[in-house]
Amino acid sequence: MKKNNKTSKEVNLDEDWEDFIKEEGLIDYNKIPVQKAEIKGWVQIAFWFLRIYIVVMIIMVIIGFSRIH
Amino acid sequence: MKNDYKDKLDNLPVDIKLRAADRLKIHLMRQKYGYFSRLCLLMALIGPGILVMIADNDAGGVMTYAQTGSIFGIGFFIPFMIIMLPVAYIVQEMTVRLGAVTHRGHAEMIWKRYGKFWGAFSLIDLVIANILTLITEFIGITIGMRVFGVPPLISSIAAVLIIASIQLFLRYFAWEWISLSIAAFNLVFVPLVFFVPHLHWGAVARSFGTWHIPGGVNSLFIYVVLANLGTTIAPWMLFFQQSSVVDKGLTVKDIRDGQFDTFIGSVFMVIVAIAIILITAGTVYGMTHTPNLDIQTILSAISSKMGPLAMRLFALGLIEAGLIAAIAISASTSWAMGEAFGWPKSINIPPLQGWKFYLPGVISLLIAGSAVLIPNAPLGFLNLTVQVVATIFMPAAMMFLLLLLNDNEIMGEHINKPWQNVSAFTIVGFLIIMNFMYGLTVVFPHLLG
Repeated sequence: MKKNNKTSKEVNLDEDWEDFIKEEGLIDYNKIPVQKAEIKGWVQIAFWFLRIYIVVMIIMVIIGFSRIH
Repeated sequence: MKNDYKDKLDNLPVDIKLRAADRLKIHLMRQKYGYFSRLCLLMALIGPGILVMIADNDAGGVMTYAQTGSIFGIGFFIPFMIIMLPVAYIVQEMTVRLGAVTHRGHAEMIWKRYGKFWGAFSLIDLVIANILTLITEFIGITIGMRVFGVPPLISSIAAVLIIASIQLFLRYFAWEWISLSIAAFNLVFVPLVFFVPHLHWGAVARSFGTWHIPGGVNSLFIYVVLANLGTTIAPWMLFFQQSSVVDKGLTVKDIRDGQFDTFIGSVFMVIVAIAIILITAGTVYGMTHTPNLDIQTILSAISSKMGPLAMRLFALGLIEAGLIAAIAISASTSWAMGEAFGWPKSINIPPLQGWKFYLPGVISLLIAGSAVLIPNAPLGFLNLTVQVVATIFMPAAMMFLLLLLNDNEIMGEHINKPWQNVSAFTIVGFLIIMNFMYGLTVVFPHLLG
């Protein structure tokens, strides 16, 4: 992400309108792609944990609902 | 505002143009010195944090706190709610930073950063949980309105019309201030505490030393802890506050104000939650040992112990809670759908131009408004179940939040600090342990007695 070192007090809007727009994020972010994250290391472990957690929870919810009646 | 700026603003797309006009005012405010100017700036920047926290004390939350006080009294849950203050703050503060740094909502970040599968998984979870939660909001609204003699059909239709109109016809700034004005009525529960008969503040103070659990740790206790956790931190809150921060146009310069906003909101949330627990603990606790206390029974008990005016004020609080949460939840559904599918996604967009954005929120309102009118629907059971379902899905939502907040590529210098990670992982760990314990008590009902 581009770092803008100008503080808001230094921006003169008559001259630096484009900077103001960029600094304030007043652009269409739909047109700026976000790079997909690389899933490796502890992130990969977290995703596997999430998959297992979801499966266990779904099984427990199914058992729970089947016992309601 | 100078005419030059107006010409420049006119060249921007309509939603960005309206946001730019607000940001221009903020920019000009920031250039002024003095305490009053600073206060004006803060007042202009606060909103998403207070709104999300007050909306968190929704109709389902009010019912959950009321049932908690009625079943368990003040012994355990008053100190527990104090613990919920930093929990809510730590979780929600992360969404402020993420939104201010990336200028993108939570759904969009998950979808684009971790792929369509996890994006769709989170979106489907969110939409289902939001619709279920909206039903509980309408339950609260219709029950509350019945106290004032309004039949459910009328109150449900009126609520749908009011909420949809607020979302469709107001631009962000007005939408936020109208919502905050409605949210202010959430504080109606606080003065009621001082009229609770035989409330001993000494006993309240002693609860912090004893953490007494009447009946000990059993499946009901775990269920109620989970329900309280579920109403304190919920997936929709993450999506809502981040999208709200983005739609308001907060930037990294506003993070400190956003954090203050979130902290103030957390304090209000906990004060109201404690007030409700104290009211019901003082009026209903000990009357009955049934765990299936419905809100009508609780309202009757309040009326008999504190008088009909107190009961009406409690009902008013319930209506407000349902209304403000329905506004926030339907907005979070719209924002999340817009973010996931790349539609225009701002409350600043006029209804006809942004119909795709508004449609999911309006449809979810119509579903919830209709569901509450179905005769003999198990609404009481649904309420606590919604809180539990939200808690079960919360660790997944939290994991994505933590992954994003630890992503140096997108967060840069605003990445999570070690203490923030330790706190957040502790919260996720506690959630997972409680979920497994609850799951075990479902599979083995006699495990804890």
